[in-house]
Amino acid sequence: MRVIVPEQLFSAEARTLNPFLLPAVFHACMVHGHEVATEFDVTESVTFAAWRDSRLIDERELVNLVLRTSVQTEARETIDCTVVASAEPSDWTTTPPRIGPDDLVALLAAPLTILVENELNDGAFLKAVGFGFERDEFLRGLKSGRIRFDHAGGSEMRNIIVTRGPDRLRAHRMWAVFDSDALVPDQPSSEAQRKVDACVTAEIRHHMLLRRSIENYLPPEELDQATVLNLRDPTTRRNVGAFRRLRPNQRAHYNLKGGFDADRVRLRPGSPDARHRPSVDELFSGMMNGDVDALAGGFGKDIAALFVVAPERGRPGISEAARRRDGQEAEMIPLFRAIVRSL
Amino acid sequence: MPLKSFEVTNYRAFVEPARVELKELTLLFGYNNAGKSALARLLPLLRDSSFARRGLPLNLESAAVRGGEFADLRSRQTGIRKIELVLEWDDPDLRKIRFVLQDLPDRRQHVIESFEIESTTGLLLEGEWVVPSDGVMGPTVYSVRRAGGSETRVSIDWHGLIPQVDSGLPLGDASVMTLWGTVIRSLQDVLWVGAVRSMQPRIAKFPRLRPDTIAEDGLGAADVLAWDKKYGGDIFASVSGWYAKNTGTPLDAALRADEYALVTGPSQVSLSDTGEGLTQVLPVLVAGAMAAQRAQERSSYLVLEQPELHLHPAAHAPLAEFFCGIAAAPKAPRIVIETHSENFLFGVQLAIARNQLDPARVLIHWVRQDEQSCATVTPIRMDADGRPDAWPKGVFTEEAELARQLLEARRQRSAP
Repeated sequence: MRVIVPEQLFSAEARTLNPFLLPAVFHACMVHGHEVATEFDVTESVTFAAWRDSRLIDERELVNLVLRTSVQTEARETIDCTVVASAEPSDWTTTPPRIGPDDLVALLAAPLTILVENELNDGAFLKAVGFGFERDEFLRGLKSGRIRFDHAGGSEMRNIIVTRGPDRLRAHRMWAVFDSDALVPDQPSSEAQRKVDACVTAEIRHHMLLRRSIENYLPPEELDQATVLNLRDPTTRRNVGAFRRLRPNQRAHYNLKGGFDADRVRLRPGSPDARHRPSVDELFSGMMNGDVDALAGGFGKDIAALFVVAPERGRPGISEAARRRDGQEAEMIPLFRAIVRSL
Repeated sequence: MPLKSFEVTNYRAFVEPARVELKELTLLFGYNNAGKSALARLLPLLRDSSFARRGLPLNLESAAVRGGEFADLRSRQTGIRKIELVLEWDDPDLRKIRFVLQDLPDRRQHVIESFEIESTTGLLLEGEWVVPSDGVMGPTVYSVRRAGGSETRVSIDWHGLIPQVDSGLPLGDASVMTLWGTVIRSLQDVLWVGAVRSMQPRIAKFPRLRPDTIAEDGLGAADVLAWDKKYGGDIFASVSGWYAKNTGTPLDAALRADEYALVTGPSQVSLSDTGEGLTQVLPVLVAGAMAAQRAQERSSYLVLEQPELHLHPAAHAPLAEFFCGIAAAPKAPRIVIETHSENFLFGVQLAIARNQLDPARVLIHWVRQDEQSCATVTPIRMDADGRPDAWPKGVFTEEAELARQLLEARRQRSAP
């Protein structure tokens, strides 16, 4: 996060009103890895010099360090989360928002919370599917506590989004990542669309997965690996073979948990999703009968647990290369870039 | 037409395809042991494999291999005894060459197992090595096929990476193979200066012939400079000018009868007696000036490993400015620089922000290893403000983290 500190906050009057604000801001920025930006030249400002010179030596060093690091970071890194420090009560309606003394330090100390539907599997999914140095940064953020997951299953997620929206501080430090439940490309379920709408209303950063569910990001070769390791029965191997033969857009929207049988129930006449039936039939047309039979039952409700890294069970994690071959970069690089830039 | 990009698969730590697009100025950044040098040294390896000597496709005697064998070049992680290379040009007649090298460790040989040659309109020719049925290695025979055409068996005699084809190949196909040879020969003009450089001679015999290269340890740079001084070329002026501007001590080549000595300043102090930074940067600057000069006539490449070594950080940005100037020329060489220097990067960013260098001429590659120790390459582009479109967070602010720890340690010491 970038905190713009206006010159007047360093003035004697402002210091009298909020004597602890600026020291706390600089300290929080150092501890939590945020940047301080000034729209005035700190080397020329008499007001700033007077404030800095009034501090103890440790604090002066800290201020110098934060300012120097901030300049270096600004030269190379893109930060997509900016606030302006203010002596007035917070005004979240401006762009960037102006944050008052009561909120500013709490905001800087707040971790970036990622709201997911199932902390175990969805959390493991997000740990697994980033690419390159943005993934490294995401994992470092989790380890250091600057990023954390928050569990909110199914429709509860929408309630949480609606509830937390008015809490602007929490909403400002929040992401929501959820399934599209899309039976066919670009047709999210009505519940998923409602989550998007709730996030837009609450101004919460969010990402609805382009594929149907997190398990649709398991590369086929990962299922192969799981088959070899855990699922030795020949029927499962046949089913994995059928899954591999699906086209990429079919794999992205196939119901890995329940298979075609489960979707048949969801698409029955009179159901809310019945309107998708022709599109689903078209998406999966041309499949061999044997493959349709093999994929009728899916791979079970725990299939997404394959994202959970378990080296002791021979599961070292899904390689970037396998996910790259599965065509996931186009969606995941921008997502993780956006997340780490909002840190 | 200069090489546009190269891509390697199963090479060193690059298990998966790693593509390096070459711009006028290509910078390789990454932590130690990420794979930067492996990528940079591919160009001198191709150069050393492009001379028309009969032998194996890859010249394993190249200094870029560092005494290794094919098994040291291929990835140790996969067990696959092959390396795939894709070379790409902006040439409509020959856009891409893809070939797979296969190790034959029992014979201490390797072969080009298969190849494809493409123009902008598509596949021109593909070939596959016919494994000798008796297991005896003779001339390498290939099953060669033109797109949509019939198959022809021809014997290809490899002179390094340059194919010599027997008369069995139809004329059109033979000309495609000739084109292959031509583009590979264009990679002969690679100057490479490594990170470990030798001392330049204090006094040396003036070279009898015009020196045309510099060794990877930088030796030969003094000869080039002395020759250029005597015959009034641009290289001496360029290098000496950099010393004068950035170190305050002009560099000169003092010519005496059939000897010369590199000296600095009005007192004519031998370069050998100056600071290590001034001596170590000499071959880097000479190679840069040579590449700039050659690029006026043909495709020219320059590979530098940590050119800033031993220089004070304050001199890194001026060094970057020197190479930005070369990269901004209308006919510029392709410069590949592996560096750990933040100030070098600042120098490049400044040149862009000051409109001295078109950002389209610069490309950064961030090289890293993932959790499976597989090396990957991420391209990073600059905008007109010299701002990278992505940058690994925290890289080059490590000193701030150390400073933070120091402040914290002091705070704890002073706490009651």
